[in-house]
Amino acid sequence: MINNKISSSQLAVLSFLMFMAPLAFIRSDDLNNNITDSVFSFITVVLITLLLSIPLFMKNVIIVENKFISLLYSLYFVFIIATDITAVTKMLTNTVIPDGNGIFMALSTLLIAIYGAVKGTEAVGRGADIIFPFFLLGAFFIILSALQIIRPEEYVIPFENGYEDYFDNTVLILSAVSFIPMTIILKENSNGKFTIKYIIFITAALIIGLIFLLETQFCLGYYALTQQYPIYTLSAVTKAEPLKRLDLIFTVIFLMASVIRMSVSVLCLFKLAGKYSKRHTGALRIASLFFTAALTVLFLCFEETIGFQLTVYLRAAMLFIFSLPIPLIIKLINKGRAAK
Amino acid sequence: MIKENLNENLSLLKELFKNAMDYTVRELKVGSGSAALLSLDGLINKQQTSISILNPILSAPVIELTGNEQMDFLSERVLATVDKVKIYKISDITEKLFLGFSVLLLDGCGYALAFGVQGFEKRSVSEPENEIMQQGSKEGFVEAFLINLSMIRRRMRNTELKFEMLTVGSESKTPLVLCYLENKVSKKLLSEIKKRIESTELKTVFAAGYLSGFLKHSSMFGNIGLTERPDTLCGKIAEGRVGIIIDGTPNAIIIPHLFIENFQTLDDYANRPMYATFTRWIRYIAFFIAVFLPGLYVAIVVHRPELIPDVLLYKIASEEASTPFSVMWELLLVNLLYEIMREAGLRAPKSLGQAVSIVGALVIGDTAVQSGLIGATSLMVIASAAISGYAIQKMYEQLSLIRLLLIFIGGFFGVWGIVLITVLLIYNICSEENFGIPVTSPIAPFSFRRMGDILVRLPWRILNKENVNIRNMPGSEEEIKYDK
Repeated sequence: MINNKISSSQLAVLSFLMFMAPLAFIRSDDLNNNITDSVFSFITVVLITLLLSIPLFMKNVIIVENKFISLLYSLYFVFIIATDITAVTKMLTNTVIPDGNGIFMALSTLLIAIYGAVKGTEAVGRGADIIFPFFLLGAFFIILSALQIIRPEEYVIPFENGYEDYFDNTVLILSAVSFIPMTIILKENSNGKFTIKYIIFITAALIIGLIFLLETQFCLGYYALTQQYPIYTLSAVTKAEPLKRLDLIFTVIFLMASVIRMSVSVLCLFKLAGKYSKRHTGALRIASLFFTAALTVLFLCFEETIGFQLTVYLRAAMLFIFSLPIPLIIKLINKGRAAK
Repeated sequence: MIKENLNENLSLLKELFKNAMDYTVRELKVGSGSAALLSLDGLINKQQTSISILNPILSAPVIELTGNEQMDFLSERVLATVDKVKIYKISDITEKLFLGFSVLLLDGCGYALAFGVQGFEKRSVSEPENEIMQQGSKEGFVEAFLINLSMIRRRMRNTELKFEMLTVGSESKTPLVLCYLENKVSKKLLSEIKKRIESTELKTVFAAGYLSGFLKHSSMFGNIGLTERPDTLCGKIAEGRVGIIIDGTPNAIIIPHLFIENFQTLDDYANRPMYATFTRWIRYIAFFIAVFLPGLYVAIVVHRPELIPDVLLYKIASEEASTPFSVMWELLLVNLLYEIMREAGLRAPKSLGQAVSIVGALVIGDTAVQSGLIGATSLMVIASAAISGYAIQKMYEQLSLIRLLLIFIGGFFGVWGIVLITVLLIYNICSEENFGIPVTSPIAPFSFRRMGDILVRLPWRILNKENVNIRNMPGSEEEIKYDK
């Protein structure tokens, strides 16, 4: 089941959802002062993403054959899953469910993600196919409803405070949306032409993300900077009769996309465990999941001590390393071996 | 094997049918030899037996032949039956007797002749109660499988339509028939179905549901279809599926069955495209209401009341203030009462049906609200969900269970819990495959071309161009390229 095939369209849809999901969980105190700057940051992130996606457009980039590389990627995915769940849980406990038990919520979300991964690649791919139209419908509903409360006077000149915010926001958004290594691992399970579909979906993600950020600026203005999750707040202040606020729709669609993202990460973890040792695959998978759960609890309890900024920079750096240089090196090595 | 000595055969059969008072033996003389006509009283048409078998034999000219020659003479020159089968084994004799055949044994002959003279009492063909269509035929399947086969044959006048008979149930030995179009069905699908039926360990089969567990994976969303309509079954067979007719039950099984087909009816294809599209969407909306409305209501009222418009919020708040139970327990209570009423309505004798309706309506609808036990809004929510569930009758069982689960989850964990369970259910159904075909096809994997019969119902002149075959569903193991 883990090694079942999915189509290139399904992989592109998965990439879209994995890209969009973290947008809901980016915190304002980290977006710093100017949301208009973050619009440019977002465009930069998309361009960097396309650049880092080069290994996706190449043939025969197979990560999992080397044990050491498999171990490195496994540790990366454990870190990504733990930080993703932490971000989602923090957002939910700070906004939607203030009296919720964070650890319980985090572990429940992880369990559902694991369930999807256990069901297999096809189940996750088809699940993404089903969730994708609801995500689009929900996002467009919020976007169209928010048009009613746009105020052009909220426009802020870009780079008003220099370029520091722009660079910080670029790193923050890039670390949040990191999904390319997952797509590289999963591409081995897909068939069909991928490049064009991938570019289309990333373009769609760019458009939707940009609209959300622009509306956040033009609807909320400086009020957004007082909110921890400005895009969530945008949906909370948006009305559409008979609903007084649309944050329920926002929460539902982004939470679904996040679970898909986590399931893909767990799938990649399972796949790497399977390749690392065929004999002890089950034990390795269980061990990696326990480790992930433990790391998640650690992050939830001691995030302030660990430092959120450190996590952000670590994720961004790891994204670079695991998306481009390592796959390119593997490609070159494989090419060398083939030439011999 | 059948012996040539008549008395030995009769002794053996007498032993097999010891204490079976319906087993009858009519001994007669044929020329200088003896014969016996066997039957089971109640299964045969006695008048037809007399006219087409007994009278011709008794009035046949006496010709000095014996054994097999005698039997051949009777078969080819004397007997007037249409349905006539040679059988060579004792086990085949018993099988034919149970199917309502009369069996002729002749002394000195190494085989018997079985005649189809069925005359058992059967229900007449009527409109199926559970699948009512506005347009389309009013004929539904009955318990006698031969009549059902005739209804299919009348609709599919095609030499490619095949009926393959199998037997299932070690004690009941229930006949069942596989119906398919040979030029459309997948050989792999057919052999897999036969394999699963042959490996069934059931002792008795009295309903299609007995067999369904062996033909599908155990899952919340069953992936075999049931129908009482011959026109529906023919439509499915024409798409390369296999229909299974089981003797003794009016429900036919359709394999494979996709999730989206629970939302499709025959009326969709008979109505105008725009109206058919409208009714399809009514069913899709009804599905969401049936599954999610109670759970979301509980989740929002308990955990996120700020989402509710003020006027409605005041109404709900004033109701909840005067009722003893919390919203979640109220909904569970109403749901339970409704399910009890529904079950009572199904099982109660017809003479009590009206009483059950009145008591149910009064108890749940009026008295409980007026006495302040439950709120009117809670009642409204469950009633809306229940009625919406009837729009998709095929999935009623699943919807009821999921609705119950979501009420619990919404009450304890709120919208977050409902979202997680929804994703879990999506994963569950997306992992199901039905004989190599994804149950969620053609939604996932997505096929834009198929949306002409999913999101909308395109006119027939467009739908007709599609070479619809279950084998070329997206994600199918045997997916073949679209071929105009």
